[in-house]
Amino acid sequence: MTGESKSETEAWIEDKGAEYAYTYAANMDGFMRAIDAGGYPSSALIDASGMVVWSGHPSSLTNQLIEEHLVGALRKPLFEWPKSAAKIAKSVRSGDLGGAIREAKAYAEKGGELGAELLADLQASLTSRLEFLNQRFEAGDFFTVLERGESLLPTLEEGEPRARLQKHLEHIATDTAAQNCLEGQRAWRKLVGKGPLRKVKDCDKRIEDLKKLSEKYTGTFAAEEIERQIGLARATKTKLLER
Amino acid sequence: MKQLLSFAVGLVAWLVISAPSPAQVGTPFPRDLEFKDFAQTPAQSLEDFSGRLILVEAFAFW
Repeated sequence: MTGESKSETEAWIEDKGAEYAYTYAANMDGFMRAIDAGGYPSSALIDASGMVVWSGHPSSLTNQLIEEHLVGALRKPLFEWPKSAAKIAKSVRSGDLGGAIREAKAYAEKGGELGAELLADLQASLTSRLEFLNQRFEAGDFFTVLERGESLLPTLEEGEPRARLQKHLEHIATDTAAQNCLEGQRAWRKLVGKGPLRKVKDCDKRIEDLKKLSEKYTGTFAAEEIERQIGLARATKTKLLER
Repeated sequence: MKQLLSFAVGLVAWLVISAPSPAQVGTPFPRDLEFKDFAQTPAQSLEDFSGRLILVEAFAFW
């Protein structure tokens, strides 16, 4: 979806000598919302587990940020994998990392092309995801632990990492403080999910509503997130006023 | 930087100017967003980048 035609885009690419991959978004608003884009150019990093981990102006993207999130990412994209590894790739596409590891083990044992490398990458990816969830849990980000942990848990084999994640999820399900924080995290997401801010008065309303949430969930991780949302709404208001 | 970025995937979506939107950092990138006509890559869909660190960039040109 673009204001430019495909032919104009292709001509522009050729003219600039751009070599990066590009594509066209069918749902512009949805895409802009998904990457937190408030203008042009905007960029975002999506980590190996499919989470938006950063967004902002391309010039503010740092080497350190990239390095941090490269941990656990596959070294080779699926479209460069040998066809014989198709079953593993299918599991990766569906988000079944545990299944992919099981497939990769069998594949490596049979001497499949790049088997050892694929297996090592997948195991590293799983380890980093678990470490990430442990860190989020310690930080009080129960929404992320729940969101990502619930889908990861069934893919894990019995063992300490699985038991630890299960313990986290049980804590979130039963602890009153965790439930309160989770409620706040869901509340602000529901609020900002209502759609983009197109008018100054919408920004004022959003800021007001967020402030109420921040007070309600004060002292929790949710309140920290809400404060950031207030900052973003204020920045949007400033941009709208400048137009 | 170039070396690091070589691990990432440059995926550029060409979009027209839009109003600012709410932040989604810390949430999963929606799986139901459709992208078409991938160019300058063997990938045919965003799923082909599964398991990778992806750098996406939205910009317009004029």
